[in-house]
Amino acid sequence: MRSFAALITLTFVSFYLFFFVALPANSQDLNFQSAFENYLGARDSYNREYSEFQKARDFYLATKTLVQKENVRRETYEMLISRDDLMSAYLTAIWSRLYQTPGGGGNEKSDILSDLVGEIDWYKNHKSIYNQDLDTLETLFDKSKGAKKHHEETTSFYIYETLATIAFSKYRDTKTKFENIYQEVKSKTEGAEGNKKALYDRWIADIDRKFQEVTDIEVEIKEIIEEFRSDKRRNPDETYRRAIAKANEAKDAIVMIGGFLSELLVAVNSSNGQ
Amino acid sequence: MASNISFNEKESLMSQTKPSLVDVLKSRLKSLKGEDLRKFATDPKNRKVVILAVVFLVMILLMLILVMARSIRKPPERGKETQFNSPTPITTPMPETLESRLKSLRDELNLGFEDRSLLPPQIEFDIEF
Repeated sequence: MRSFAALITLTFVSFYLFFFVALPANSQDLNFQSAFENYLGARDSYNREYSEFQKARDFYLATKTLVQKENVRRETYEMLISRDDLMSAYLTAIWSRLYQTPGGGGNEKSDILSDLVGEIDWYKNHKSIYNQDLDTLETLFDKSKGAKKHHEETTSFYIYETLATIAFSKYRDTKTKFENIYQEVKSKTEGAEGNKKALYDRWIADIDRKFQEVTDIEVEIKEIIEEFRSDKRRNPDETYRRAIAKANEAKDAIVMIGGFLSELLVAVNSSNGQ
Repeated sequence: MASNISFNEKESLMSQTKPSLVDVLKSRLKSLKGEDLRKFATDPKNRKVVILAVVFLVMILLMLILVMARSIRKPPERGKETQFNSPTPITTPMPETLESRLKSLRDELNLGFEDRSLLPPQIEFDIEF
């Protein structure tokens, strides 16, 4: 009978492990769309709880009764729990977005992804420090200060570093795709002779100069992103804004490259009789 | 006299007399050949076999439901269409020309590098009053 029970248990455990542990690691966790929807749900929930907290607080401040203080204590607890839930859902969403964004290089992405996992765990564990029945309102405020400190000193840096790296990865991916097209168009000009060849050479030189501009800006963006992990790190929001401003500066040059490539392609095709 | 038998001896005696679970299952399944299914399922001797079969059937059903649910929820991959969604049968895909690649890249570029929907949500950390 004992071995029979063991067989049944083993069957249940293996199915449980397959469906609820192995599958989510391959599908749900890596699926940005579901992570983002989950984040939007957590955001709505937090906004609702925060609004309830504000109402209870205003009512307590107006009446100053023990009953209203108890009411605001309960609402504060609910709001703090939903705040930690929102943070872990948001961090999961940007984790999966970065994971799915092509164009990353080296260990940049893997380091950030690993740090984000640590942050997600931090907020998931932090929820358990609040005690619904035993914590006073003052204790909840004190415990909330710990979350505020952690957010300011650690989380916000990881968030903006992630957002900047997502944008930077897209930047590099776009540049690489344009470079690939450029190489193909350039190869079509190789048989040209005389005036045609001179014309193509002039145009190619202009395109090369634009690509160099884009590469120079790429180096600058990389240096800005590196500030997130250096001693120079300051306001993460401001660092992120500078990185995005630089990427937008390069966007104009890339748009111009696209136009040049179209012109070159038309010229090559018409001279080849296509 | 019986108290002089050691624990290990007792165990070996018991293992000689008690058939293993696999043997029980084998013999029960053999008996199924001669009986009809209803009789087999209601026989108390076959309880273990019936429970195991039910557990496996439930698991397989659960697996099928999950696989179906996942395939319904999964969006079609880029460049691929499901048989249900495509009104006309798919023949050979159109080759991507340099012009079309350039155009889609320029369209992509117009969206910019920053995804504003990913900016952090408004969260209040100063709650004390």
